[in-house]
Amino acid sequence: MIRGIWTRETVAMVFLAALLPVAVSWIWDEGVLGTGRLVFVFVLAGLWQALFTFFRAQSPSAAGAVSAFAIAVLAPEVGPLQLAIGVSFGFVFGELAFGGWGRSVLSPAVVTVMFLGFGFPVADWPHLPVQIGWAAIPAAAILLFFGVLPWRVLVGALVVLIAAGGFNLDLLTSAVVFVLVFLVCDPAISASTPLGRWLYGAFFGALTALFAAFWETAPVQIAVSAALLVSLAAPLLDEMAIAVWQAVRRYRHG
Amino acid sequence: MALRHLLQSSGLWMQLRARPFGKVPEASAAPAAIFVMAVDTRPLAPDPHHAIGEENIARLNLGLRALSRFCEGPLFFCQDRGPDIPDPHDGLKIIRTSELHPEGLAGLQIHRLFPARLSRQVWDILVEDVVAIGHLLSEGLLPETKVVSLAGPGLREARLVRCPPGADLRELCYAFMSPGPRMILSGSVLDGRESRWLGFHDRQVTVLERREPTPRHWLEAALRRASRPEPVIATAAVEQALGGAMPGMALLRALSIGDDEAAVDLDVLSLVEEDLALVDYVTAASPRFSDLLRAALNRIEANA
Repeated sequence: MIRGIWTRETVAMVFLAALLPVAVSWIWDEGVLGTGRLVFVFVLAGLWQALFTFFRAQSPSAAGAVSAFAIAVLAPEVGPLQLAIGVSFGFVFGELAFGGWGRSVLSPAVVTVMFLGFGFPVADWPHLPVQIGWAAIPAAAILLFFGVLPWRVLVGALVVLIAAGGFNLDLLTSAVVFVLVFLVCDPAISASTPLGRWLYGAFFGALTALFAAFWETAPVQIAVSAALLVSLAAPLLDEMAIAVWQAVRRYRHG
Repeated sequence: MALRHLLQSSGLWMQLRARPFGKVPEASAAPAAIFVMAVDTRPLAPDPHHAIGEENIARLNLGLRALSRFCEGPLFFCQDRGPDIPDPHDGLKIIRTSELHPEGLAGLQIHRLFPARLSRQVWDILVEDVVAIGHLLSEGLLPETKVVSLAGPGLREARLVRCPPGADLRELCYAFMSPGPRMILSGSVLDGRESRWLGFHDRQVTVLERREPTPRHWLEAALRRASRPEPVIATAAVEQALGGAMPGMALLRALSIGDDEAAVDLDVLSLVEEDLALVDYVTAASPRFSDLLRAALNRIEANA
């Protein structure tokens, strides 16, 4: 018998490929310091995945590299020890303890960044250069082309963000676009039903607009906070979508 | 009643499949609806038009009239987008389906149009068997052969043959095989199984190249032997493999954790193994969702 290709690791590889334009533009901007930070997070994340592989026979995933990159980009500017604690907490309790990518509820990058943000509130939030937002457009195009990105989430979020911003693109900062494409639209984290995905994307857009309106802080913190809250709401949105689907079917088929 | 007895004694009753659970209906059972499938979208499947033909239209209409006497509800005739194949009569609804798999699966159409329940059976039957019913009623004889397609990368050329039920597949394919080790599946590449004889419901034979698994380095083999299989990610491929008709990921999750109650709420009772074969192919899932579905259906049937 023949088997298809859309296993978990294929999806992770498509994500890695889509990350390349963003990675190039970010490393170009950050230089040696940023590269060092990326390598540090990467090694630490790989170490935790390897430990879970050896002690719990839980196969590692290339999606960990995407999360590690997102952490290097989005984490507040803390020292290496704090960063190590945050990455360990994020990967172990955000993903690996639940069974790895595809079984977890939250993205380890979101957990790490929020952990560091709550734990070290005086640390400065990074400022993402504008080219990262532009580089996220080809990334989203690659992901959409392969059908990996849930397009309903992307469209739902963009519609709400543009409408809430008074039909201009002020709310679409680099941080919001990067978080939307790589963390919110992660198919393993996002809602899985069609209606649930519309609601999930719209909810992210609404929360981002709400935080931006009432909260004087960096766009990264706004975007990641919204991402944390929507991924916690995803199972509820799916339940709602399934209840609606069942009600419609009861009405139609008796 | 006489018609029921005639079908049962001639063996044509065995060609009916009842959902829920995908078994031959009981001798006295009455369906709420019957689906006649005149499309087959599985890869390399024979075009059902070959089985119908000009000369069989009258037999098809006779067979459909006979079937409509079994149920109070509608008789659905699923066909391609061309002109209507059967003559219209009361209770017959003609459904046009797309040519893309999985649109031609009976399970998907039943799920959309008339879902099966524990208290409500839905039967499905292939159009060639309805023609056979018409043949039996008009001439008193059963057709001796059926149209079967032989295809696949292990053959030099694809063939469409008429052969008796349960034919010897090696004998059928031997003359057309290309050299090298081969594997003969009775059924499509998605849901067929390796077999010496043509399966009872199968209309196609797929010949594949037999590939022996290459031995791995012991370390790689140890690292790949995970305690739990990799989860399925909700991509557009998975959504389309289920026809986009139901909350697919929720159904797959309910099946993989053995949550039968949630699976019933998501209309698992309208499905049989072949309906999830495309998902198994697309995601290379292990264990196969079609096996999990059968296990869930067996549990539900035992508890019903």
